[in-house]
Amino acid sequence: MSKFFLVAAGGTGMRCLQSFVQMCALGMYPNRNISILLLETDEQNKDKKNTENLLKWYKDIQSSGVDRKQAAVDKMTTDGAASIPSDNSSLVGGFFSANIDLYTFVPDYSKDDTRNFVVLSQVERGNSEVNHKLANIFYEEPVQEFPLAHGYRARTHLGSYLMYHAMIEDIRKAMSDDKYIGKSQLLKFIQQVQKASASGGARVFALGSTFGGTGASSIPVITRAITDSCKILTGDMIQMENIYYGGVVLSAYFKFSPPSDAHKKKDKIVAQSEFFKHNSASALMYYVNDPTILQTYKKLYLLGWGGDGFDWCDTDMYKKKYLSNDEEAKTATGGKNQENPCHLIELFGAFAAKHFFEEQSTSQKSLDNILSTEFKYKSLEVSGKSDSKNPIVHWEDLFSLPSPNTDKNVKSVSEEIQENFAGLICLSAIINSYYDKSLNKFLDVLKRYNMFFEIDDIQEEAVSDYLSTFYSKENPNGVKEIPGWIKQLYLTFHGEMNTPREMFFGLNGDVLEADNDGISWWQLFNLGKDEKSSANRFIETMRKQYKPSGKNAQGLGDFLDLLRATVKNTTIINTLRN
Amino acid sequence: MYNLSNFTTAISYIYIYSALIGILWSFFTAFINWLIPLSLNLNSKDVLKRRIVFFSVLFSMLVSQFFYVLEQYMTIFINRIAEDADIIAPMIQNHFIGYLVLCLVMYMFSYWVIAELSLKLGKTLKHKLVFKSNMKIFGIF
Repeated sequence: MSKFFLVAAGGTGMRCLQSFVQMCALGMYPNRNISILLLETDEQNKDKKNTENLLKWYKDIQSSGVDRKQAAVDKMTTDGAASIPSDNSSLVGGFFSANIDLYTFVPDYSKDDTRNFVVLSQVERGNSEVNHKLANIFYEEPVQEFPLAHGYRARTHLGSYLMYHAMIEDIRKAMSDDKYIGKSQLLKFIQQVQKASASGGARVFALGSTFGGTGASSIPVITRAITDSCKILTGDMIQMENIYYGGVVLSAYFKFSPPSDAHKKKDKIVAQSEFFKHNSASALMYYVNDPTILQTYKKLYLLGWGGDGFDWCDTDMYKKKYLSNDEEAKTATGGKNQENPCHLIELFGAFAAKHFFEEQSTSQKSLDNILSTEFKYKSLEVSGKSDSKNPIVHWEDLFSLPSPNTDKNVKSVSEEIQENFAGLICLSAIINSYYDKSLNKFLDVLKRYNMFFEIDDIQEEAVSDYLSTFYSKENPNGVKEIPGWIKQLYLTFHGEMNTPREMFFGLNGDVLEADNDGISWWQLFNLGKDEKSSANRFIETMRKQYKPSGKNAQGLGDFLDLLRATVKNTTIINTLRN
Repeated sequence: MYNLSNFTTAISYIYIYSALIGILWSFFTAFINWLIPLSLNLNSKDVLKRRIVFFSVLFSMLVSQFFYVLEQYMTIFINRIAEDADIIAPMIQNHFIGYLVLCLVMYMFSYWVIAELSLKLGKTLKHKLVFKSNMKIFGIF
């Protein structure tokens, strides 16, 4: 059986990865091990930080106290041991299904000898005049000189070159430096790929954009970089046909204000969203013709957002509204302020990975038969007219493979995810509105009704943090709640607030509105005519599904199992199941 | 000699009556408690309310039995046992505490059966909460 590897590159890749992790949390890939490589050039990028936090909470939720104790022992005895042994963690109540191992690679552009192209490529060394002339053929002067600490700033011709060499350099350094070998996470990732290629095969899927900096730069070269790294590791003794590459590339779908003249004057090279469409178009033209891509990628999933009449996500408006007190929220094209809202198209990106990984949709045999990249796309129905268009998205548009099991009573993974989806929204909304985002307070209420669960502090904190990210979290500025992942999807799909509330994947839009604190959670279900009667029936249903274990408390997995069983036995007001 | 058969019949009837009264009142309590909804609010007092209803009804039942109902029924039975009434009446009255205890026990037992059955049959957990909440008996022990 193939092993799964995911490479998330750049800000868009990170947000696609967030969607992917959310799907794993909702029950996708039960008990599969997935190795993820974060590729970023901007160490402080907020999207990267958010993704790393999400994965940390994910692992904390998966691990029990025993696992952590063992991990601490392992860490004391083995240098560089993973903080939590992934093979031992498993399904938590049908949620948090996949075992994820995270590896990060961020080329260090903060040093004096790596800060820009000129110093990094040693243009000034040797015959600098010739070197400059050569460099000028490929790159304009401002491109050669802008600081790289905030990424490649949509200059992909430079980025691809730098990213490929940064990866190869890192592997070479790790192979030659005994002190560095334990520190290089890229090396560990490549070792995993190489190991998998020697056993059942490796499916490597890349997530990124066509229009930005790091992602757009990495996608064309990542296959070559991984392959060449494997060759360095094995001295060319690797069966390349056992590594299957796939990827999703997202065309432009968001916008932000153009930089001010002062900003342009200061930085010279600044990413400008009005050029994203052109960047995407050029990149796609390149992808369909480039031999490296055509020979290495088995499948490329091309995703884009509608043009005229479609609502494009305005990241400035989002920031002004939810992230800042300051009405003059500044455009950030890098650094700790670069935090864009998640978008529905990124969820499609996550499902593209699912399509590529799933044997049912992409069999190993079919991959073996692909000689040149297959380009895949997805078309959707459109509602609305002229300046107000929206795609119509049904659950089946995301993932609708039938259960491989012929037994009708056994639910397919997609059906399980649907129920988990409603369950997690419900849980987040309840915790958000009644218990000030504390899971333990909810467990106290369940204990009042003789349903006894106990979870340790780390897991409790991780669940509360995770659910805040999933649904809604407090704004440290104290102005408004910051919409979580699911609300961001709703927001970017249905435009800004004050538009008519609509169903979303068949779920009631009220619960998903950014300003909803979660108290209308009951509108997801057909339980009662108001909150009181719905809460009553919800607890009654929960108690019916509860399997007591004497006086002993049950764990987080049992609690989530109970939640899932409750949702299964509750009628959801929607078309989710249809 | 007084009629032993009449005496034992009267005693039995009164005990049966006491038991039935206990059972009927427990159904009444169950109905009231069923109307109190379970709540997701952290500070909800729904369990306490149900307990108050349970003990209030129990107390009202005993008081009403003690002061009025049992007294009335005993008088009716004593009047029916015309012969040797003066001997039998005090003997029946001697069982007065027994009637009350049976009434109380049957009320509690019946409510417990209702609670267990409603929980086991998946109807509601509300009644069980009177006896056990927070994983403790009466929420305390």
